[in-house]
Amino acid sequence: MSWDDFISHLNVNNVIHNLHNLEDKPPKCILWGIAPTGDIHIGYLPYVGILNKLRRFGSNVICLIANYHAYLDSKKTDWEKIESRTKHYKDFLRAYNLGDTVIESKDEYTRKSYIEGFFKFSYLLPAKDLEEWAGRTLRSYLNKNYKLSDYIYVGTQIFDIIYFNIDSSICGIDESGIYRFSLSFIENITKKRYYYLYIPMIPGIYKDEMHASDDSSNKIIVTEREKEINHKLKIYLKKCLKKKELPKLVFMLEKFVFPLFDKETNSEILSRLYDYTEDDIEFISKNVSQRLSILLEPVRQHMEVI
Amino acid sequence: MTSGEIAPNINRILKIPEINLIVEKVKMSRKKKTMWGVAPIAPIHLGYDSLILLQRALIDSGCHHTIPLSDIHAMMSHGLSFDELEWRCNYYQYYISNVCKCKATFIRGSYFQTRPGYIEDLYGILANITVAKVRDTFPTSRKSEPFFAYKVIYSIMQCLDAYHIDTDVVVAEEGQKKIYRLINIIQKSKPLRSWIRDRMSKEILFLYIPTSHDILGQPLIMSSARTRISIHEAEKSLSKKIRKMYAPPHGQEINEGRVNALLEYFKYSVFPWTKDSITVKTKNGYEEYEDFSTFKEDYHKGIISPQDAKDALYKELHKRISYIQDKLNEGITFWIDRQKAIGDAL
Repeated sequence: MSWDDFISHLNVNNVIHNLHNLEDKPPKCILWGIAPTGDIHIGYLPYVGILNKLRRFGSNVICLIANYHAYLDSKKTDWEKIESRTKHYKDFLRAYNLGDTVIESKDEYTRKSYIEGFFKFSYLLPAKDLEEWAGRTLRSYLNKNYKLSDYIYVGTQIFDIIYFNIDSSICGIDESGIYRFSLSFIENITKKRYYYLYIPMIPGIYKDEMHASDDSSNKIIVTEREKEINHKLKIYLKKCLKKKELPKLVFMLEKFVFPLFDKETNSEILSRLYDYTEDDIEFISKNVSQRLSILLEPVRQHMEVI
Repeated sequence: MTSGEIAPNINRILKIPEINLIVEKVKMSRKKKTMWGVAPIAPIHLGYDSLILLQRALIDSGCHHTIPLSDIHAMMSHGLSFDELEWRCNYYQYYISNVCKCKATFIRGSYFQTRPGYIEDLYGILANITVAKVRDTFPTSRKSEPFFAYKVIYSIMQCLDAYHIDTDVVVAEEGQKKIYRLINIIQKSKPLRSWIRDRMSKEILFLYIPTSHDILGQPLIMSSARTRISIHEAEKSLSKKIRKMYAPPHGQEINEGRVNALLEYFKYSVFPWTKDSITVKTKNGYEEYEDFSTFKEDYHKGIISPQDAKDALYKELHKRISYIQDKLNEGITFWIDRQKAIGDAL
């Protein structure tokens, strides 16, 4: 099965819950803002899958590589690394047929029209609300010692909706607060309706969540080989077994990855997952990493594999 | 209406100690490139006089003086569009250069503030500084206003401007000191990107002129259109404002936090704007005053009463404002709501 076949079989409504059926009523223009804060991990796959599918339904897609945001959020990406990380993200999006949708905040935010619009918009943005909307999105949330750049981070993210004239945005649940609270604010200004689609966070190998800015041991990087993915999954499954937790990472992949394969194998993996022992780990990790590798085939073809 | 030109008189300007001191400091520093930034927001009032005179003096002393008209700052603080700001910029530029005869170089803030290099410097600095550290530098012109996002950008940009304009000296009103103090915080913040550190390592001299006052003798920051004298005053509103002017007579103490507004207006808005003597009714009949210091002495001795001084002030300001209004034709002031500009005083 190829990536194209996969997209054909993908049911967006199964992956993402929304107020309306996205396949019946796709967004006119959807924005995905991605801050290049580190190596891309498998948590990005649902996004590229959904965006590819929505394009087939006629949606205009904008992938905004928010290179400034990577720096503004407590300098997760140092200025010197922004360019190389941006390239890495561009390569990834190109691999998944989204290369023509890519724009960069570095280019957009320095346009006169953007600066005029954003500076004017900042006149309307109460800083306290920005802090609340951002919630846990920003690293400064931890000590509440907000940096001046935090306001720009949230403010520009909200203004992008107006500037790029989009009607929907897609984001991780960690960023969803910004949209959840701010959309009604901008609806009052523009008198337009906006929607946001959010995707739950993928659990990390060690930590509760997997983030691009994390250490590589906590994430499955898209450029990793099947062997390495298998190895990390085993670590993860062992950790869950030890903690007597259900392996959420694999359950989350169930919706997105498993429909690729025959129902019989899927049901065997799932039935083992609910009550697995040390002996099942090899079987589960092998099957899941095989499936992931197929989804990562475009990366293998277009990017350097580590 | 008068037809004779009314323009700053350099000899009288240099007799103002506060201005002379700054000009001398600039001369001693041997720095030649000076600047003063202004956000072109509202109709101009006479509170700008001290700054305009200072600039005229700097230009006269051989400085190359630049005035950035901070359109983006005005946009942020007042939500104005570029079109609205273009009218205001033209109006400020025309008033300062053609009416007040300050031959400065004018640039729009947006000319350099929209460059990628500027934005990257700005973001680089913003990521280094916490809100808690600089909260007291945020613009406080509207005290009841909640803390809006623009305020964090506003002050930092003001500091950054000094380094993006080719200048050696920044002159500003004393109230701006707290904003420019931020430069210290920025320079000390770590880790500061090397290109910002290099840019901001340039030694710039910051010189401040005391804050101007309104007709009640209070600092301008506490003023409103009702307590400032606009260059768009009508005869009646001008007369009314001068009648209300705070002018303690000889022997009476000045209230704390205030100055004798009447004397301030003579100092900055009358004497330096003419080469002629000023006629004032005194106890001894009409006297001709060639300089402010003699006038002030006689006022303090009680030779000139506040009422007689107010009559003379009205005559002089009416002459000057009429001249200004003659020079500012409708094409440049059409956007001004005159009733609002004069505080709907009548």
